[in-house]
Amino acid sequence: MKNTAILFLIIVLLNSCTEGLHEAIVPIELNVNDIGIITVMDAKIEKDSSAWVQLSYSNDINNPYTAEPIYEPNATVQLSANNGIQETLVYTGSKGTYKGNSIKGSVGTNYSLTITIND
Amino acid sequence: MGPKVIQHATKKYCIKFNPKILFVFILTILFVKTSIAQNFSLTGRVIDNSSKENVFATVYDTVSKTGEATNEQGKFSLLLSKGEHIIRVNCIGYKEWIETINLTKDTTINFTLQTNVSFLKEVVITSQIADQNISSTEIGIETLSKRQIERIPIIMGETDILKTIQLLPGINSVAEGNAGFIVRGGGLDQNLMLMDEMPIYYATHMQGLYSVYNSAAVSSLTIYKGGVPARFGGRSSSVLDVRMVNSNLNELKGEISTGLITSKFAVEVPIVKNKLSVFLAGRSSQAGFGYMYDQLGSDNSTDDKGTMVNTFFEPEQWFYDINGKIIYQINAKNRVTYSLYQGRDNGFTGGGLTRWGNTAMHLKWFSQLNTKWISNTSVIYSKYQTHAVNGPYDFASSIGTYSIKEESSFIPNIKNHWRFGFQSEYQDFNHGSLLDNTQSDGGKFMPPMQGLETALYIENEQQITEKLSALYGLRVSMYNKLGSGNSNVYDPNTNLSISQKYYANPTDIIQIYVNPEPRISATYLLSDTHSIKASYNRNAQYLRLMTLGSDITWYDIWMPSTENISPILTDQLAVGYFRNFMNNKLEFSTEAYCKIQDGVSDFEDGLHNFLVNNLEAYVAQGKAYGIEISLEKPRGDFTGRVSYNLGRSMMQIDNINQGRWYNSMFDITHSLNLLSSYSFTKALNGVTLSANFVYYTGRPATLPESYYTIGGVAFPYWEARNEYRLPDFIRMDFGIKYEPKYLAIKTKKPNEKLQPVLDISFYNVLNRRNIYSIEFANSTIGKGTAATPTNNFTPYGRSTFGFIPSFQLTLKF
Repeated sequence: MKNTAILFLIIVLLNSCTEGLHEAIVPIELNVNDIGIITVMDAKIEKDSSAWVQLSYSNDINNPYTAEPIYEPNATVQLSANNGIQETLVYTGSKGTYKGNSIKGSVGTNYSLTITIND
Repeated sequence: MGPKVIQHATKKYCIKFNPKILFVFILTILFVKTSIAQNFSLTGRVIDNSSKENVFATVYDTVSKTGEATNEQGKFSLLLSKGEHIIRVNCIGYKEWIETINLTKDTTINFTLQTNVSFLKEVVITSQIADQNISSTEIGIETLSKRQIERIPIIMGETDILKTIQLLPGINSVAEGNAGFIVRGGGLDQNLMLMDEMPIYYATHMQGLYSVYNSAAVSSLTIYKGGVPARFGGRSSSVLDVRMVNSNLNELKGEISTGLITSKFAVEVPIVKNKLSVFLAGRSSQAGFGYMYDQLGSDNSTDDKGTMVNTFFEPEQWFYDINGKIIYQINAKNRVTYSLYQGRDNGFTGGGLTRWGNTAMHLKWFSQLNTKWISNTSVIYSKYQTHAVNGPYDFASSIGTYSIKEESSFIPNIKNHWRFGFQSEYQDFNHGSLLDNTQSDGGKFMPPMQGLETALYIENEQQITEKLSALYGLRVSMYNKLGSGNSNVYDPNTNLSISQKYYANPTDIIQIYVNPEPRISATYLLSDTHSIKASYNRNAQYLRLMTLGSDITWYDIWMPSTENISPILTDQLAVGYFRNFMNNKLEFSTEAYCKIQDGVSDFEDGLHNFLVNNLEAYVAQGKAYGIEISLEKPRGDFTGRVSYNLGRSMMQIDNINQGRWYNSMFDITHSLNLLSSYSFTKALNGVTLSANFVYYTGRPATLPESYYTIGGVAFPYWEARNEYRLPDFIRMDFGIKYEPKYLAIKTKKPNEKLQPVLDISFYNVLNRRNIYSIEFANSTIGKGTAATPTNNFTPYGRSTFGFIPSFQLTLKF
């Protein structure tokens, strides 16, 4: 009888501690710095195809999530290769994307971009 | 002056084999040798009845009121007048020996002291002389006995020394419930963890929740936060020197205990009395109440990742430890000991079963060459290994070290204690390999590496003047990265290896580093009750644990210093003021430290350490400084300690935060610890109540200020690393220990009892959910998966533990 009581006590004790043993996810308040808006550039050039550049802006972490960022349609994007050839990429009219035409990617060439955002 | 000093000496406690307290008795010895007409010498030795070891005792003549402490060899020498003398020989933990001698000529007499069994448990705590903290050269050093550890409430259901030391000033937990610890702003891998001198490379079970040190097998521990003597080396922030139980050569002793997390036992068996003795301790999570409770299956649930979890353990999760020690006393001057440790963890990770753990062995020959010279020769092996099997995927990694060590202790006179020796350790790294290399991740690991770490050292603890004593030494360490293997030259921009040179032979030296490491600490006694101390040391560290973030995980690998990663060099300067109040009842100390580190490392943004074959991190500078204040009442029915630490730990790496100094992961500004316990002696005899309070500033955290979207996928953007902090940590624990004397079971032998002890503890009684990591509601952020539209990025904190009551039942015999 005494043993049963002890066993019962142990079970009660064990049950009461199960809560604290588990990991919990708790909401917290955070105040991060306002770092302003950052220009985001996504660019690619592949072998035998022309260049592609997308310009957009970052969003504050506290703002609601949007799959579509704010794009930059009004920039001058210049591509130059280390063999001296240059070209200005043309705005495609949507989603901040600019496309090249004459310069095709080739192995062993270095490319650089000069982007001027017009007010 | 003479009698006063003698009274001073007899009032002190004494200890076996502690050279440090020699100094305290120097005055005594100097003054007792006063000349008296018709004198005869009374010389002899004091030894332990069972172990025949020397006992550091006081030998006191009540007639002439002169006395002295025995030296390292247990010897004493008194000059007494002709006639009758009553000699009292005392040492705490032993029964007093009183002998009446009629001195008519020079006499030699040996005293054999019997251990006072019922009192022995207390020895550990009081075996230091009362003002040891003032007079010793120790600065930045904390020592805890088993008894002290047992007075602290059990943390998370299991007495654990790595949790206990996190309550000491200057030592912080890296995350709640994690046995990883930060010493004075240093990294987790900068702590040398020893178990009977065997290095332990992964010191925890269950992903850091419990340490590999079975509390039933531990006899004492010392942690060197600074002022590291020259005999230790290899890590740059601290040394945790844990001593396991030395098996008793004379009588059977032991304990068994059962609790929520594990059940354990420890037994000391003398096989041949005074000659051969065996110690064995074991611990298993599957024998604990928690595991059994899980088997009832009444509380199984799923966590937020959808994995099945039991109340205490995950499915297939278990661990065990085995500690063993054999002591063979060849003769009075020679002893051989063999220590063994093996521990294993089993877990269900990544869809397969994974097993990991340490195996370590230590064979030691202790030899007393003559009365002044003791030699210790050791051969040590330690290996940490992992093994994961998931279908055809059979993964293994390991670090194995093989070392030979010789240390001599030379005591030419009472004012000097020299130690010198060498250690040479061969290290073998398997940074991950697959049994079948045609599997998809084959070749995605770092190649195996080998190294040889060698050190020569010499140190002396010297009483320079009455008031000034010092421990000074030099350690010269050398690291050789050995073949076979490649040396790599990396492109600074792409981090890709651009040229390699292959070294084929195991004796080929790929890279060599040599570092002299001077160490000095000095104490100046301002009076009997206060002193100032200072220390400087340089520590070289050749191994690094490649961890990401703050947690140590089972698959983190140890990397040697290579041709691209230089060793960590740490210079630490510390000054301290120590003062005792109320006749040594209260001990106050404050220490300020400053650490400059060269060669600490951190990862480039966005790197990870799993399945990469060219892991060579950025090497940086670090600095840490701070001040520790502690007030302690170490003895008596009520014991307690309040300590506060103000600290800073920073790093500077060219590629991180534009090369600015930033807070390291181990930067904890404020830290406050309160420990207290009270043992009832009259009413409620056998009951000890204890309480802890812990507060510290949240560790630094990197949080995104904004996000950007590419192809409909959101990526976090943060301006600087470790710019923010986790919320502050606050916790309070209570413990009740009950040793019912009336339940003690008497055995045939007098003084021997089977004493049951019940420990009940309440961890985190405030049930405050302390945060160890922060994530955002779109928890897939940064992993390349699209976040759910319309959601905000809401921050959430992860907290490991709430309120946990637990118990442990122990039977000691």
